[in-house]
Amino acid sequence: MKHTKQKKIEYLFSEIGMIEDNLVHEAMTYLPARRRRPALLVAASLVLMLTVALSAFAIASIRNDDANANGDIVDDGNDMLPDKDSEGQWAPDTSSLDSLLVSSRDNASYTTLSVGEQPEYRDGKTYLVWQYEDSDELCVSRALTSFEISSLSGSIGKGAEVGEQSPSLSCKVWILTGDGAVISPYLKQSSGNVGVTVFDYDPEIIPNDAFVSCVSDILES
Amino acid sequence: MEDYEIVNMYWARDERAIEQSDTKYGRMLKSLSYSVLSSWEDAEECVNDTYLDAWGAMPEARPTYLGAFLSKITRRISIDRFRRAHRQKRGGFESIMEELGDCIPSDSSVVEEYENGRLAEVLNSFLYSQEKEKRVMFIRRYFCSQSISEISRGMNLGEAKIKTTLFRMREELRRILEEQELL
Repeated sequence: MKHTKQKKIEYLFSEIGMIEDNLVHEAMTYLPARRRRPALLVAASLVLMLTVALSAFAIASIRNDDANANGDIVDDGNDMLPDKDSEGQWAPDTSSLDSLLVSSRDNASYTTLSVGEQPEYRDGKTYLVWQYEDSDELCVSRALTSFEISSLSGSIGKGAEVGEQSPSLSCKVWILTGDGAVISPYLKQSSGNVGVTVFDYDPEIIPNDAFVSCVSDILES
Repeated sequence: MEDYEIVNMYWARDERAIEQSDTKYGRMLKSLSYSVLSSWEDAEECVNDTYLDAWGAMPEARPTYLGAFLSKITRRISIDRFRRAHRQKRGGFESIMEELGDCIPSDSSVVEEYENGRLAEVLNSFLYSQEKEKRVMFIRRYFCSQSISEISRGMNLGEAKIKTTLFRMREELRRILEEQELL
């Protein structure tokens, strides 16, 4: 049987379907590395986050007066940090973001996307997104409130720097700002650490307890 | 649910395996099928047929990567359906086939029979020789049948770069097929 060029093309296309499973899996689960965004867009994203943070801070200052009436919460006077409990301890007990997400895996409120499915990057809403190391699926929180955004903004980028050896983490975590920018609480705040999709990274800092506390509240609500 | 847990369900003939497969991979499989067939209704049918095929293939098969395993079945079923229907998709699947024409050696003589399995070996070898980013690009375009713009968004790369890279990869593959006297 003679094979025309068209037949050969079809044969080639069919045989591409016989490539090894791990190659297909790699392509399906590939996450791009972070890329530098134009400085103007980065500046605009950061200004947007700062504006939201300042607005929510003003609202939170008014709302926070209610906590003292019941005597259950001690107001430490700093509305950008979670309040201490009656014994003067930071809540929650979970000391790291990684441990929190692992322990919350079965009972927290979030959406799991299908493999290969991308979250909404440009719908004007802010989301917390994470991925467990043993899974190819992305987990997405509900849209964050203004107060939650301001809480996260106040503590993001303020964690301790990692040592020479990057810590072994069970989750990758990102924040989607809703205007196409993607950042990670494990990275220092800089133009080189802003992406347009979720991306792979090596942690540079460890999110502080204030950040973890905010995330805990988000997952529990 | 992890892949191995769903595969165990198939092996145990637990029908929830299909429901779990659909939850985890259904959307991706439908997109892959739609890229070939241009019809969501047909894509849905192909995906349903995929689960039937997978049910029949297990036990015996025990795939490590269930998504890849199901994708191959969906792709094969979709291509077969496309051939039977003789449909021509404008600007999508048809353009993918036209691009692959670049890989056919220009002076190739008429081949009487294809060497069974050898072309797949050469393709695997070719892909493993590429950088990861290029490999992913090629597979997303010619296995998953994604559009250039979908690949651009998913890989955070410009469309021009993707087109250029794929062009060069097709040229390289053609040289390899000429040297190997395949096609």
